[in-house]
Amino acid sequence: MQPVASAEFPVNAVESATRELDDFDALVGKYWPRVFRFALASMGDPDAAGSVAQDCLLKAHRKAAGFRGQSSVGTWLMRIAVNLVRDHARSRRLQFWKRTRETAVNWDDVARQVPQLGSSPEAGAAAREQVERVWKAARGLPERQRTVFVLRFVEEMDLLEIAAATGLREGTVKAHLFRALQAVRREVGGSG
Amino acid sequence: MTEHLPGNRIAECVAAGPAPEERRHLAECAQCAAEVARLESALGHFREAVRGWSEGQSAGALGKARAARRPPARVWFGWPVWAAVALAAALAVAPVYETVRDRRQAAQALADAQLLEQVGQDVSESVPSPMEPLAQLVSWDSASQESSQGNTSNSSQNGETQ
Repeated sequence: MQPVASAEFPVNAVESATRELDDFDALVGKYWPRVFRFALASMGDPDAAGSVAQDCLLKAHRKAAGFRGQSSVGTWLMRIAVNLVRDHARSRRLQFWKRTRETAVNWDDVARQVPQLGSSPEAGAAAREQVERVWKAARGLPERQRTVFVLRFVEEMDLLEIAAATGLREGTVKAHLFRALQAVRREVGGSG
Repeated sequence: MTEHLPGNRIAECVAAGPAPEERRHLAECAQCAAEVARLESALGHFREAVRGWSEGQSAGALGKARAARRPPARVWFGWPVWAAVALAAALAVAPVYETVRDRRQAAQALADAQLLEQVGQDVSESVPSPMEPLAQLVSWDSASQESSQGNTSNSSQNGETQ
């Protein structure tokens, strides 16, 4: 297949990215953890997250010829994942929420998986409580705000990358992020 | 005294980093600095927790995804084996088929024979069944005549003899 260069990416970079997308096993090895993590944080359901991650990587692999190098492979994959999470939630809304409720996450257990949460038992308990509060606030966010929030604070993407992954303008990303953060801040117990 | 930063500007500081003016304020205001630090700390713990959880679930989910993609296992012996199996099956079934077919043919032949016999009986009857009572009368009269004639001849014979 012939790689197509864009203004941002030279031909060599596009060739390299296309090769990366062509090798499915290598693609899974490199990007599965990130795509799965984003889907898991967005949906809260490991099975659904696995399904989304699989669909995302397969789609990227099959449509490698369509990759134009306008962003990195990672950002392109996140864009596909964002769309799949959205479609999944919309097309199977009832089933999705039902299943999510059935496999409800015990965030206390999740928080315990990170041993360095606080140096003392009291600090650890406070940290776990913070995690639960942030999760609760994130679950209550509208879909776009939650997506932007997860991309920024779990995936640590910058605003331009988030704009590329979501197809939103940078200013819109900022607005969603600020609203999401205000909701989280209220839940965590900020003053003012 | 400087006013504290409102909630939306605290959120801006955490989301995109503080602007120079806010940075100056945070350097001077311990309360706002503590609030930014607390929010950043909560988000940092959340990130760590999600990453830990994801790492714990990722391998299992990948295994499930790979298993779901794998086509079902097939047992393949090659065409000569399958041909031999098919031939053996045909040979095993053939005698049974023959026996069943013979039985059916015998039963059909018996039924045909019974039908022909019935038709033969019906055809051989000289009088149709509705007319059988009349025919019996006729045969009875002729029989009685024959018997009376017989008696007469017998008596004449007897008289001749007497």
